[in-house]
Amino acid sequence: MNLRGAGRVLRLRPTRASALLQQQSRCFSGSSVRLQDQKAEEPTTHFGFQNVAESLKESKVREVFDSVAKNYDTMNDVMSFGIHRIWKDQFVKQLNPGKKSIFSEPMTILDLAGGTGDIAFRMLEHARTVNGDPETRVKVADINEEMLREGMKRAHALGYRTEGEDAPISFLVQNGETLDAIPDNSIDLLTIAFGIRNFTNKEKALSTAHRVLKKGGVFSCLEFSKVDNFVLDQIYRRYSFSVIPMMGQLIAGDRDSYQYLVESIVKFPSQKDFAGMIRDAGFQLAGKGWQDLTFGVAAIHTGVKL
Amino acid sequence: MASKSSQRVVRQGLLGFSARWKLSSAFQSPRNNLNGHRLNHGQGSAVSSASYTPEQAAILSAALSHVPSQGFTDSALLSGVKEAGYLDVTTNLFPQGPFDIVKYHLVTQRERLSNYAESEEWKDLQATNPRFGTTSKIRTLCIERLKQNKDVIRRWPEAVALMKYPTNLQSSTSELFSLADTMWNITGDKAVDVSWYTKRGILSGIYAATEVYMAQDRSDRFTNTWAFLDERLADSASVGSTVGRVGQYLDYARYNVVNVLRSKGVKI
Repeated sequence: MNLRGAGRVLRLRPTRASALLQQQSRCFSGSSVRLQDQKAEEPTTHFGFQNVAESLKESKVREVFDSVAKNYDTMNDVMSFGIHRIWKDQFVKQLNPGKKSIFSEPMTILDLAGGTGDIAFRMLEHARTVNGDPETRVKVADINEEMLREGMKRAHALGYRTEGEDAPISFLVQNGETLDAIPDNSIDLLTIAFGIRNFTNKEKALSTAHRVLKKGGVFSCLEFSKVDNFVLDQIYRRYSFSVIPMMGQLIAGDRDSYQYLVESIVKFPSQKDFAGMIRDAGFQLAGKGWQDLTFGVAAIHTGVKL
Repeated sequence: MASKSSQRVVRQGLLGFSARWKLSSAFQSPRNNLNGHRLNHGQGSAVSSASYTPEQAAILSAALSHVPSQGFTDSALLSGVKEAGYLDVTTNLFPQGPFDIVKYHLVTQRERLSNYAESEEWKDLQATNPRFGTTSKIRTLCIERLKQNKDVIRRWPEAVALMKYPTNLQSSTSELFSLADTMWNITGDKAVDVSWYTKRGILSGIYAATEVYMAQDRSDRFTNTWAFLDERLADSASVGSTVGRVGQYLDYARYNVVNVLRSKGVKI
């Protein structure tokens, strides 16, 4: 359950997080080593992200995101040359949120792991300007309070109300794998942008998504994926494994977060495998199930509950 | 316009597409099945009925019923989704939008044609007409298929425009070839030589041209369309034999070259 991805990991991990990592690493001194806190006094305190116990992954990611919330968007822009904005625009434009005729009900959209509201604001904007629907509402759920606070701040700056039953946008702290506060069959559109990669149990998250969606509801997920062209893949890998961590070190003074970012991207299933997981959760795939963006660096996966 | 398009399609059939067709069938490339339907290769292969789930079929057929009034558009798709009892957002099930309605029409009507070949009507035709030759069969099948476009024929130019989108072109071309393949299979064509390709290529061209003609045909019960079809079929008889002769010549030349090389001691 954890949240955020792409960008979310593209950010600073300040000393608070380092301290936490160091603490946890003592319990796991036997596990593999990738992250080494430079300030650690004991040279044996390391752990690899891949081998962290499930119960710890959640809190660890939560701490990391706590500390990076404020620099989230800046770092996204730097690392992706601003392309993440194009992806997100494309993502929202294709989903085309908002009611399309006077006979339709306004939509209830749930943006999971949507902390700072990147997707949510685009959804509201699209529903209002393209479909002329001021009633469609977005709920932003995130496991991380700091990220939500950042989103709420931006919502107020943009002039959206966030309190009350009929607020266009509301923020709630939720574990994406369970979504306890969301009733069954209540959501039209559930989105996750660069978040599902950080979930501890993706299958559980998908079946929970299936539970909360209405009949006919759509699950759509924007996530890093696999580049299908061999040559481009080599270039992309070189960029992600050497340039990104180096930039992380130079700009943010934190190589480890970026190392985690690129490793988690490599570990995420391919388009085909992830489409299979979505189907296994009970969704019908839209077309072949996914659409590549920028040669497959990212992909949009869509499934429908029928 | 129609004859130009006919020539173009025939040429494509003879040159480019047939080669790709062969390649993909030989290697059973998974790309072939991405469109959700199976292409018919060779003799007697059954048409897949698993092209659409029941829910998708319900939505798309409802959408198709709105095409005469709303055209092949997003709003027809939306009407279909609502009519089938789903939400506005459910249109995301069809990433190709209105083209998915077009494709649904093409696929289901092709499958229907295969079923028609099993029907009593078809068997009667064969039994009662001693001179029911290949050309008559092809003509009957083309007419049978074209008649199914009647309801949407005034909107057909929109469908053609959608089919020609670069992103949709592969899908619509392979669907057209599947249709030609289905027709030849029904007529019982067993040829496996070079004419396998030319037959399908030429028939695809004739069918596509006639379909375009039909969209603009205002005659009573489309009599002009059937006349147009007859003319194209007559043309193809001469084209077909020319192509066949060229194929024979190439075969002959190939054997000659191989034999000459062998006589020089090359191990082929």
